[in-house]
Amino acid sequence: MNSTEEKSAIGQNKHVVIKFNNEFFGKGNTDITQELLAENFVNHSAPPNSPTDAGPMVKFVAGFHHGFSDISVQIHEIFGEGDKICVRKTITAIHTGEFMGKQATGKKIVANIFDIEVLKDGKITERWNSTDFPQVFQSL
Amino acid sequence: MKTLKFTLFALFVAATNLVSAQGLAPAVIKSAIEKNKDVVIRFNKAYWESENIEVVNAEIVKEFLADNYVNHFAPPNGPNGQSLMVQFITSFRKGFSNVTIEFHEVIGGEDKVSLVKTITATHTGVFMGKAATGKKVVFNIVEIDALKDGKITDTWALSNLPQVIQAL
Repeated sequence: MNSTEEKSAIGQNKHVVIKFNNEFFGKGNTDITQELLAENFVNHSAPPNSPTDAGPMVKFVAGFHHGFSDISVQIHEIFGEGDKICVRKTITAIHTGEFMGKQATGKKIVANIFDIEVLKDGKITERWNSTDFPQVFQSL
Repeated sequence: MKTLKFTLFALFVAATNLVSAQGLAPAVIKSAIEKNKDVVIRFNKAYWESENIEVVNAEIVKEFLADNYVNHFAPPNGPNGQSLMVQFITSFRKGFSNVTIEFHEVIGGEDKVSLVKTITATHTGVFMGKAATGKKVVFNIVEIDALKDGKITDTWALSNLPQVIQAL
């Protein structure tokens, strides 16, 4: 692949990752996983002893959209190299319903998140992730 | 005819220069990215794995971090910059031994490098008020570093360190 082709592939991959963020995390559209995640998708940052497929992520997002409203995803930084895309983002939301056993507090949360995604043929095949969401949620 | 030949030759030279200029620029960017990756990897290995805090304090931090270095996810109103990095590793080293670092992903983009890394260590001393448990711990960290002139100027890092310490 020459550098122009690589640049355009990175551009297309960025587009996929942004769409995934807006639809999945932003709108809670869990069906988008069928379109944008590869069949053999692996989540390297799944909690220990938890499945590494999209299942736990789908459950989390469905629960999050039940417990929170006014959910918004802001991507602060996105860059790519080869078949990988790196994202630094924040998700803001208001805790207006029950989530993980905690009743609505009406409080606004701001969670910092980093993702590294690997893509192939326009689909996300692997994901690494780190977030301060557990601490943010605990302090509600 | 001579003029035409000369003009054609000049055009040919100009075209060649244009092609090579276009071909060179991404190569220069690529090599800068590779250099930045190398700086970040060497810094991380030296910073986390060095058992001599004096060396980290006197040399490693100064060699790899810019004078105006900022760690963006440090607690607000606390220390920052090189002094924060020395302070953190000093207390970390009191609490943990057998510290090793592993890099899972290293991704470069213009003036940034992103890392997915794991720090493995044994909890053999007091850390954040927790007495030694002898347990092996694994910290997963994802970070982005910004670089300028071969030094790290900014770090944004997120990890499972709070949860791991809490579970000790």
